[in-house]
Amino acid sequence: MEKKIDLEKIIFCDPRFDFSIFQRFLWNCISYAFYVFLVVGTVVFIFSDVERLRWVGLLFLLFLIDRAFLINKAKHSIVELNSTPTDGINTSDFLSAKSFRILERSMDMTESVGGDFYLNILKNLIKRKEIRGALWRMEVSPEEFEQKVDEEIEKIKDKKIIKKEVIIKVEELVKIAFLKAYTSQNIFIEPGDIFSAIGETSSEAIKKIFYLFSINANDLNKALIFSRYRHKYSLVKRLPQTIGGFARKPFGIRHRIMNRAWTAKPTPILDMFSDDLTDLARESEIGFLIGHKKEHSQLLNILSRPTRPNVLLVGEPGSGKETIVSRIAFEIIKDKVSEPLFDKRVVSLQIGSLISGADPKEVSERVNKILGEIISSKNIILYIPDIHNLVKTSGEGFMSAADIMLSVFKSDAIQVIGATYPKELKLSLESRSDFLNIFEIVRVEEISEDEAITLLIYESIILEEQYKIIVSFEAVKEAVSLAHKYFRQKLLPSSAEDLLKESIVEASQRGDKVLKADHVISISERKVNVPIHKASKEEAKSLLNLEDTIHQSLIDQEEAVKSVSSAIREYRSGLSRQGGPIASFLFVGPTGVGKTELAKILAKTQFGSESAMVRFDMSEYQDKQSIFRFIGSPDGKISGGLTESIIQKPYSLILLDEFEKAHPDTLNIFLQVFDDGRLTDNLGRVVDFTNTMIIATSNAESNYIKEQIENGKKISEIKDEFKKKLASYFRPELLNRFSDVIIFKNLSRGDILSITKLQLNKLAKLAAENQGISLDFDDAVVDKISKIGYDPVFGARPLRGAISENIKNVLAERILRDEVKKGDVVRVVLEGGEIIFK
Amino acid sequence: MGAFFIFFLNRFIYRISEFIRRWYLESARFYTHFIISLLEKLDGTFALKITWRHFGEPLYQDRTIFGYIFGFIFRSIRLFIGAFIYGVLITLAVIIFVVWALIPFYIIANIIGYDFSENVNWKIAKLF
Repeated sequence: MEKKIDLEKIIFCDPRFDFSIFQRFLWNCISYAFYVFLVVGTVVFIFSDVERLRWVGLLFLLFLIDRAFLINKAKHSIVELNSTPTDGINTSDFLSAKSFRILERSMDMTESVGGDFYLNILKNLIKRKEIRGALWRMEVSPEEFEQKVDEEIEKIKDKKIIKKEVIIKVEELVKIAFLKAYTSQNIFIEPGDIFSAIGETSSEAIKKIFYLFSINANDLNKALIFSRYRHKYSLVKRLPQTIGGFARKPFGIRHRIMNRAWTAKPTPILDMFSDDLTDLARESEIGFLIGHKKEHSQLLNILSRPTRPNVLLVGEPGSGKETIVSRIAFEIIKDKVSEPLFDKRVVSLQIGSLISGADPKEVSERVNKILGEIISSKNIILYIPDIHNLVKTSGEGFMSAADIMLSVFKSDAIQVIGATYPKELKLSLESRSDFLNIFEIVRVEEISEDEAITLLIYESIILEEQYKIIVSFEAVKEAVSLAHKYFRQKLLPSSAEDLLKESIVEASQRGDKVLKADHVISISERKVNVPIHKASKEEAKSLLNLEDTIHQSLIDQEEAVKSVSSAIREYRSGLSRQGGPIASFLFVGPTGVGKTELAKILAKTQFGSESAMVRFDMSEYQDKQSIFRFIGSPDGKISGGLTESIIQKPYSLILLDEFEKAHPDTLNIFLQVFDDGRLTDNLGRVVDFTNTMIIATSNAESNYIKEQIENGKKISEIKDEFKKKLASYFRPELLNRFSDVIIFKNLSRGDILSITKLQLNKLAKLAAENQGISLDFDDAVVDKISKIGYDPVFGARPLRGAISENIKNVLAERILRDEVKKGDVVRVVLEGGEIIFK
Repeated sequence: MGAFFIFFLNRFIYRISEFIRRWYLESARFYTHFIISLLEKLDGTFALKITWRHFGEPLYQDRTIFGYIFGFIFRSIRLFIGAFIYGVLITLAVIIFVVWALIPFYIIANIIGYDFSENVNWKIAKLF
């Protein structure tokens, strides 16, 4: 168990750092001379004719062998600290020889040439192969990095620093490096720990370099795992075929079904319908676990108690339920478990094969036989994945498998681990309280991003071997981060594993030698249709002109267009508010003025297509119960329309039409969405809204807007008063959570004419593309259509109908009658008040 | 410079004391750990402790007279073989460590001219 170490209570003391450069040089010379003398003396003495000298030579040899064992090691190992108090320990005792030499050399450089001690140590560190390798894995060119360090050193090389200050800096650095090494469970303070520690010092120059190369010092230790394992496995072993193989395995243990006490009984029928996880652990197929410490310890405690030793693991697919159980099997074969688990087998029952090809009667017989075997063998811990399937195995006139097992489970005769999903727990098991009460529920939570990165690094080492491609650390990090953000159908690490594997396969097929973060990003973008990459010059230009792009399809409503454009620009620059949606707007105004149209245009131009818009007509959510249609029903039978849509399409535009018409309780769920960008559904899943833009529309108080505009007031003048009026429709806390409330003004005749032109141009384009017909509209026709399509109450809403009735329908009939053919130029004119096609 | 020489002397003494500490304490710790790990691995096969604990139980829960008889016979054999192997292993381990511990004394004795054949062999012979 890791102890908390107080930096104030540890010391750094080594007299060699108090020496002058000359003294250190002298000390090194004496040390080397001593060993040279000793080696020469040993050889001479051993081959001497004098017997006593030969014995002296042998004694020297033993001394030299002992020293050879300590090459590159520290005085003490950090591992020993687990059993001793850490207060007052001297951190210099844990510096590996390599780290010590680097510190010593950097100190000499700083004292003799001047400059910043941290920069000098950084320069010395990046000369090391493993640090260069780790930088390369982090997609940082070691050459460029070194060049930048040199530039910084050059800038302040004349700055002299007094020795005392250097010693204080060494002390600070070594103490932080010690903590890093201790947390990473390293044996000594290695150069990688010092590199990580430098990033946490107060040096501005270092911070500047790390920012420039986007280096997170903590990542380096993880990036070093690659080289550490590659080196380890290149020397003596073959890389494991599966991730489970990384678990430290005992050797020489044979495959066995019976326990070592010879008190168990064979279980032939159980063996037919199950997999023995302890066997797999012996074969080093399973047992590697990262994270899930809490769940693992809970599981061990429950299984070890005398009464009700049954656990139900509840977690989403890919959350690691089976991995935790596998770890228990692994610990059993290592004898690292308590008495009630000692010398047992963990057997995974395959319900699929248990019920396949059997009628309910046969299933009952099989279950009874299996239970009999388990009870009599007394060394089985039964693991039942998808345990909810047990309650689904009943037929007419027959008991379900769950019913048969119930009495046995109740008697505490065997230890049982069940696994299910939150949805199935609600749907199938909660109604069976008699069955559920036998188990203690342990919720298996998603592992953290940090843990997932570590796990995926191990996975990458295997995949690198299989696909002959090098995986950069940044690619792993990006895969975890993107999977956690956008691929929420599965949990970490499964979601990130899938993404990483897909990226590796594609990169490998393309013949790439290295998988970089950019590749993972582009695959993710393709899958979720989210612009994740940093905005290119071209995209930046288009973002800067977003208002013009929108105005190609939307007339007027300047304020609304400007607000949404700004929100999109902030999001793509990474400056939007963290922890909330991209933006949330309330569009208010009369009907037919372009509220919904603007949402559609945005969905098309910025979110990929109109299908990226998730639309809810809030007038359909007027009763209190409709909240469940958004987040799902408590019994799990109805899934949430809003939450499911966002899980499927995390980057989307949510349009909440006629927002004021929904039940107030339904509107309350949006408080959390607008504020934190998250919403918990009926199954307890937290849905992320941080990549959505939410637009709510409303007609509330639109007459007030019309009156005020007609009285010559500007929108900015009426905005505050208008917001007060909205308070009678929406609760103030809801209104205040919108990024902005945007007022849409009534459309003028001029606006309608422009919209008509826009719509007719669209139609002409459509006709040209699909039918090869060139349509040309006379100005008088445009004017006529705009008059027909305008309604003071409905704004531009009737316009589509007017175009459809007067132009589209007529044209369609003429095309079908073959009066208008491909390649024809059709001029639409107004003659005698009638629209004529020529 | 005085501090330098004190440190120099200090390191010299430290290296010698460290060699002795590692020869006896560190090696004993490492060796004990190695032997215990070896015994643990052997226990995966011989299961001495578990066999002893379940000594009176029938073999594979065969609660007939045969189960008890076979349980007694097989467990006795297993206990005997296990105890023998463990005994040999532990004895060997102790001998090896004693020899290891005596190596420096033996070398030093030879350096100072202590004649083992004169003293030790003769005393051992006298014992018998």
